[in-house]
Amino acid sequence: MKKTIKIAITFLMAANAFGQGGYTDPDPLHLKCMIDWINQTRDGIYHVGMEKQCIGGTWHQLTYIYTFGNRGQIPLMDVDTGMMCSCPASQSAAPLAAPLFAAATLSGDSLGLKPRQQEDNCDSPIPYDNSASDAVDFEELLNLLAGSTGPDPLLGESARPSIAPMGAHLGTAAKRPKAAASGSGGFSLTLPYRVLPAAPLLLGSPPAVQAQCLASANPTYYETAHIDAVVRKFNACTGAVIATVNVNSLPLQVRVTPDGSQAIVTHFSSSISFIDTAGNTVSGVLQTPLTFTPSGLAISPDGSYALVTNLEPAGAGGAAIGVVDIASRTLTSMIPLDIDYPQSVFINPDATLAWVVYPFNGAVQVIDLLTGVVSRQLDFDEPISVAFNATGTVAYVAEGAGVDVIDTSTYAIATKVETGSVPADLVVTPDGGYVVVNNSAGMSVSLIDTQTLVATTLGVSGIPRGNVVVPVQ
Amino acid sequence: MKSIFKILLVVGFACSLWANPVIYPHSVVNAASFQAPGLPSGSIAQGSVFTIFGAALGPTPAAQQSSFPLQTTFSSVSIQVTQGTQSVSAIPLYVGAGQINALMPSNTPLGWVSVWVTFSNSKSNPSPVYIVHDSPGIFTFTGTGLGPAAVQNAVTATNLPANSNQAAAKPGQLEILYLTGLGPITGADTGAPPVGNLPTPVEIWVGDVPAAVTYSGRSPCCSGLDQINFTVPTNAPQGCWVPVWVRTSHATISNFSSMAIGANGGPCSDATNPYGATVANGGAIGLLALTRLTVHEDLGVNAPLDVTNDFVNYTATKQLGGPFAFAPWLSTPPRGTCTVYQGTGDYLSSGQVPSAGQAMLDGGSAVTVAGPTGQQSATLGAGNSAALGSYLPLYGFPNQLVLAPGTYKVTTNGGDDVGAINASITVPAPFTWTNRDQTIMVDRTQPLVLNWTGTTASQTVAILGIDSDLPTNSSALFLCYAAAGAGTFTVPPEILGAIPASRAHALWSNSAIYLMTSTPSSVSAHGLTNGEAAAVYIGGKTVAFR
Repeated sequence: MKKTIKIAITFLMAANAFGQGGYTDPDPLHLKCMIDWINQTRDGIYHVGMEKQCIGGTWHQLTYIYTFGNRGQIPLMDVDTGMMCSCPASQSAAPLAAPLFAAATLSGDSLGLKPRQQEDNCDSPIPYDNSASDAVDFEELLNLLAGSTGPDPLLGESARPSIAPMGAHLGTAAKRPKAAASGSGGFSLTLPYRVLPAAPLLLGSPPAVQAQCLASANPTYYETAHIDAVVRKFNACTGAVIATVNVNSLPLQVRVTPDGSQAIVTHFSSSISFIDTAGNTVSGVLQTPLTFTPSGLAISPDGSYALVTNLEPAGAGGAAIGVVDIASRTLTSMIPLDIDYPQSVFINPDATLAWVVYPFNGAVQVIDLLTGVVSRQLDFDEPISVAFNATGTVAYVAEGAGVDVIDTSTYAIATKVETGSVPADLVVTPDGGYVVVNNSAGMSVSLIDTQTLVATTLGVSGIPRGNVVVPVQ
Repeated sequence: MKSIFKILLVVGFACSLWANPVIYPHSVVNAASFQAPGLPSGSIAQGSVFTIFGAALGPTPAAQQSSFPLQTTFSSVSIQVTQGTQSVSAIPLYVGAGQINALMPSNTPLGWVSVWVTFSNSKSNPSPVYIVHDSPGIFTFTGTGLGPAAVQNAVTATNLPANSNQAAAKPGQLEILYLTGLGPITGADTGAPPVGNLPTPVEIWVGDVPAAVTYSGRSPCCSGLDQINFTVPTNAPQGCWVPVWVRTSHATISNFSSMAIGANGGPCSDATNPYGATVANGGAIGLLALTRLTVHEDLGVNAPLDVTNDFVNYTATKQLGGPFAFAPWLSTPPRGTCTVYQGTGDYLSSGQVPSAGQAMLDGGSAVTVAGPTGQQSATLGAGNSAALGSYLPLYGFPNQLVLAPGTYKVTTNGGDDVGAINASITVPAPFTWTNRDQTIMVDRTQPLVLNWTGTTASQTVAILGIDSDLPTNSSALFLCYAAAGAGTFTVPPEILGAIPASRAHALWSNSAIYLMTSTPSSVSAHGLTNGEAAAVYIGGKTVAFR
């Protein structure tokens, strides 16, 4: 199999902010920005949802009834709170056609993963400041990667172990070289792409380079459109839609199996879809019980099973992790959970633990996957997602207005890194050098240097809605 | 209300931190080898002694069982091992707050189990452990799982001195090696262990030479403790750190320990290792090197790529010495043999080979290199090295390499412990690894033949292969030394089998093989017992171990 040099690129998707929102669009001017599942209750087969939206410059409290199936919502009430708000005007813009920046690294073969961890959420009382969001501030990011301003993010890298013939200590003390795009609008990258046997030790100022997305690798990613009941497949180099796959109603999260053959989708309407990525067709549907509302989704590293959270209150038949055998497409077991509304789930690298986030209850539970026992419960401010370094010794938890860095041997918080507003999806670059964060309510993206644990946050146009790893050449 | 709830949660969590025992991740390991769970011998055998690391696991001060029958609850500590609805109790042998040594019952179910510790009625988190029939771990005097093995020279039935650098074994001598993990027994584990050979097939190598085994089973003294009686092969290589390892069931290779072998017994020696005497007796060793490292990266990349770095290294260490002294990289195996260093962490990132008995010395951090391409001043940084130049033929990066063949004057400024060094280092033309590009997929069950040209008899050639298994945060490397003047070396499968297989996913393993040459000469400086300056050339490439 031909390997490719790949580089982590964060796509800052100014996609339709309501693509997964769970209700029809009552605001053609695209001034709304809030979908709130917190207050939803369950009444028979109906859900009553209360949502706060920014409409016409003020916050509105909307109440809907919506049902399983694909019938959308029935508006009940619209209360204008009178509180001023401001939402990004560009939320309905199409996805940007090109990646905006790259944090260097080498990815594996699984491309195109664009997880969606949560519903859009912009209920911050602080109005958006759109004044600087018309364009991405390339220069700041490029300067960071080039080390020409501020602390050099490439310094301080851990020394490699001494490897020596004749006892000579030959630690390479590799310092990643830096390369910056010349001018704006291109890529910036650092090398090497991951921790490999040798890293070039460039001295002085690196030359400017222009890396290009490796189109021949056909990198792709997927996105769910909640109301439209489709999953869209995108070309990760161009941002163009390759395919639109009709799926069951109310799709929430999508993940691609490690071998790239299937995309698995959770549906709020009590089902799980399996998409054949070669044919872009739904190859199977697992209908879950009506008491099972699939939300979060994580696929085991070996691709044999998926964990799916049941976004329901705790109790008999309620909040749980469902274990799905991917080969047979069956729900093989359930791990009951004791906190309401488990939203998303993340598997650590050696697949011994699952981290479940409860943004509505401010908690993360670490589940031992062999026993289903809660090994540890941690308290956070509306945690949304979790990512791990390659060895699983560090976990990053997106919560509140920052990312917590967790030592997984003790579960102690090493530090909290401030990012933009409502950090959502996290991606650790395969070289472990950076954590890329899309700030779902901040119209920004943060790049956390894992050595210095300092974040650089850059304003973007539109709401960044995920991270995807693509190759470059 | 929510804030109050959170406060209660925090308080409860904080309390639980104090009250509940905690087993750290990946911290249930063989008590002799401490092999990380991701390594080939990282599983726990039925009937073996294992170690649990964590916090609040047991009493302070620690306590130890000392009489039969052994109790399954000791000092308020018990250990449950569960698999589904099945549960057995492990036997705590030593219990302390940070560590428990225990005996895994012989009737523990095979496969994945969960280990739980209960201390004073507080139960820990579960820790997943994989149980196998046999998985050997050799006890070492360093306490790291590397270095001198717990082995006795059976001089007579009553004269059984520990093998050490002061008491080498003679070729043909009977030895007693202590380990754990040879497999279960049929009786209860709580009683005195039965004496007799266990049915588990056992092989043992001494310096890559198979040795004859005369006994392999429980040691009569202690539950879970095994011993192997073997004869040192008459053709075994001699030296202070001759590798010793065990394989059970023709499949599972132990940690790599060492023993001293000499023709006449007594103090050991190794003429090919200039540091051996200093490591054994104590002293200061200074190593200064001009190094070129070039790596051919052809796995996990879009197109083959050669990355080359020039750098200078200088390390000064104090060796504490002693009969069981061992320093990785300095306590080298005899020429023509290999050893393996296994450990925790990613050796290609921040992981370190376990080490004990040495301390860093301050020899200064300023280095000046003057040679055919000019003069450079550098400050040693992380890894005691400083970059001199590099070349990456990509994106128009400039060629900044400096270490062309020729003679270089290298000086250090000295430090609090070691004085300045003035050395002359001659950089020869690099060797050629002739079958480099064909070495991609390494079958660990077959001999690995490596060929090169362009070396001289005065150069030491070493082969290093490494695999870091990232998901389990573990690494292993093999280190072989070729005979002087050789142009080929064959890494035996018994060595390769100790390296974990590379993962199918390119990002989940870091795997590479290096060929390394060194052209050393002696240097002196105030405070150094042993000083050496060398030109080192390392040619490496990415591989996948299958």
